[in-house]
Amino acid sequence: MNKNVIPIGPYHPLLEEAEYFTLQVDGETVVDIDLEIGWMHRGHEFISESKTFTQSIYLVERICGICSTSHPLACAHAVEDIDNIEIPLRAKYIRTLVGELERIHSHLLWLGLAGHFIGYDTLWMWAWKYREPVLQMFEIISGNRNHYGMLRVGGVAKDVDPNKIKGLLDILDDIQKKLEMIAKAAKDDPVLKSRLVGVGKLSKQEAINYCAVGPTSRASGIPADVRKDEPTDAYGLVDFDVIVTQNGDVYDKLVLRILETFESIKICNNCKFLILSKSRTSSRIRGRRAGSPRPGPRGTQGPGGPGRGAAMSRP
Amino acid sequence: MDNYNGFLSLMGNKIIAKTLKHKRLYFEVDNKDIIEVSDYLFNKLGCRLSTATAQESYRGIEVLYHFSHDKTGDYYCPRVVISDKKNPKMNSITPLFIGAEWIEREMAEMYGVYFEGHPNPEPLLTGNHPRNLTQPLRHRRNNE
Repeated sequence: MNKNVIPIGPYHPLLEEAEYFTLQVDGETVVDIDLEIGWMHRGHEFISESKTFTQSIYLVERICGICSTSHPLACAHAVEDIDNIEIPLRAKYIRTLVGELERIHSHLLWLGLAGHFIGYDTLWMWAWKYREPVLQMFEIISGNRNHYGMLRVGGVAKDVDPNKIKGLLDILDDIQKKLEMIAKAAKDDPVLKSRLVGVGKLSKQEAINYCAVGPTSRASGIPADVRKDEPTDAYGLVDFDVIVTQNGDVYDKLVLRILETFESIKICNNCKFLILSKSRTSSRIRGRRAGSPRPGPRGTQGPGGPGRGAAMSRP
Repeated sequence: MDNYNGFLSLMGNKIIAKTLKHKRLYFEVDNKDIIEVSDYLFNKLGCRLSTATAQESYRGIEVLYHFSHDKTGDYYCPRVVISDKKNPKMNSITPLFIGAEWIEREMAEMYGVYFEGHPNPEPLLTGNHPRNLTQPLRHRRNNE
């Protein structure tokens, strides 16, 4: 067998992080892969030992260039869990809205990269074109397209203007129509099927043995979703389905991500509480310890003193 | 604690100390029992290894595995304390399931723990480091 070696990385425009893959290929089939992932080990755990909890959230936001909610959310949950901080309902909905918008843009980014890697640039351009409005939504909500800085221990950093929510949901409706077009095209596309069906297959047992989570495990037939299994924030209050596909190959992972995007849009539409609730943009969003009395009116200190488990909005 | 009663009645004789914090069961087991306990958690109970953490303390190096039972949201966290800080050694659980391979390799290079029975005990992150790193990265703290 005549094998060729193709190196990818460690710095490559399409890689999100510095990593080095050595592919052994036989014709168009990758038969073996060797990878090195330590090119940009920054020691976040050690740095965060010398930071406050609020500073840590900014630090972990930078673990990944495009996942600016998932890591800070986990960090905020951990601190709130330790100190039994209960966050306000409005902050829960804002967290869920931002988290799901991030899922939409992340899935579309993945879809675009997958399209480009298989040499199908039309899909890449489509996916990234329709990802752009999501980034604009982030700009409206947080002021930034990436690294939103929306999370705090005990709540969120900024309130979302209720008057803008309607416009944001209209943008989402628009994205949904475009995505339906992509989903329909991907379903019947012979290029995608010939390139992706049966490729990189991860069976259900392998997914269990590798302790896979998220879309990777759901594409292998494991109905595990942390949003359903252990709902935090507003995930227990919104309506959505867990998408599961069975084959575990790249095609199923692609289909799963497209279908999950629709569920994320559904969750964002469920966040209409943000329009209905009477909170103004200048209101404070404060966390409180479970069992403690509610914080006093604006201008007074909460029971834990100023800034204790609290996050203030900066309108 | 009710959720954990079944596990505790079966494995109670292997548990040296236990505590329940934030609905998570933390318990200490001896190095010789970690494989059996992990086998039970992974293969019988159907838990998933979420992650593992290592920490240096006055007792030695503590290795803590976090097994998540996704269906119920329970967490089983067995801890092994290695008192020999100069030559820390413990049994590897990677032969049970491949999901533990990378995190054990990382703990090995960060804390110098030698995982006995690990099928691929090479550095995960510093394998191609320009300097020849012959000692664990935690070594700096020993000099403090």
